[in-house]
Amino acid sequence: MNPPRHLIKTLVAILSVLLSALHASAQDASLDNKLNDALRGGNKFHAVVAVIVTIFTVLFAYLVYQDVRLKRIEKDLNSKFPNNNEQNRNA
Amino acid sequence: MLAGIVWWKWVCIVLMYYTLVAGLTMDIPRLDILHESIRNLYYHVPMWFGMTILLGASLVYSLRYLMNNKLSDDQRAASFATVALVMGTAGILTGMQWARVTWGSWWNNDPKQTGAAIGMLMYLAYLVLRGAIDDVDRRARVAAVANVIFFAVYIPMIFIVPRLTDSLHPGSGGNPGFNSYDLDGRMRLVFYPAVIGWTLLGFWLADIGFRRRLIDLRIKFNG
Repeated sequence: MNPPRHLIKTLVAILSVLLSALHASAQDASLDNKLNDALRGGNKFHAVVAVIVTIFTVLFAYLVYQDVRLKRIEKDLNSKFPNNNEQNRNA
Repeated sequence: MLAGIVWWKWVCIVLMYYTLVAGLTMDIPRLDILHESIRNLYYHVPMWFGMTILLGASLVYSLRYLMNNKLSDDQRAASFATVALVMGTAGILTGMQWARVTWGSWWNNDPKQTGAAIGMLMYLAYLVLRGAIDDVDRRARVAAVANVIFFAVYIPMIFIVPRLTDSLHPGSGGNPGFNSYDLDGRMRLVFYPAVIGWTLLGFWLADIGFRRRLIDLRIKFNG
């Protein structure tokens, strides 16, 4: 397994490159489009994006928390029941 | 603390953030009727892709259970089916919202819509069936058989039947599928990562569900 810090740095770098490339390609968007103007008018649209990103940040934080918690419980169980097997179900 | 998180889960996080931000902000083709709603392609369609892959994984583990009688396979099948149901429901809701904008109403009795709704009900029945049987072995056996039958019915219902009749969905009833008209290069740049991201998210949720179920089982049989 890769060290997570290195992995996170790499992933953040990839994400930054992808998003900056997209930002550059979006510069030629047809801003004269009224619908586009209406949607992008003010900062409402950015607020929508920020809210969605926040919701998913909470979701991912919860998933990571659950993952770590489960790992700890599994470790506990492994030390308590080293010979875990499903055959015990018939006991 | 974060060392325990497997690499593909980090990939999932990155791809999902990319999908959310790029999917909402990047430029899109200006098409009649679809307008901005075409961005739903990054959410609605990948959710269905993810759901189908998860249902496939659930089927594989059900078959494995029937061959090996390992309860952990049954638990995996149940976890995959549960998350697939959640993703399918999200897919139906995002699809309804898209249909409202482009086809004029929330529900159009489109063969694919109807097939998807029936399929979701079948998998809901699968979960109810699981909950109705107390004996773990019997439950696993019955659920595995039901899963095989439901999958065999569901997949033709959403992928084959709509192609044989009139349908509003792309790729069905003589409509063109995703091609150069409605999925240009800019959209592919987000669409494919979105498919991978949503699918990995489904696998992550299923993994957590499976591990929780397995812990319960271990405590039950060893404790």
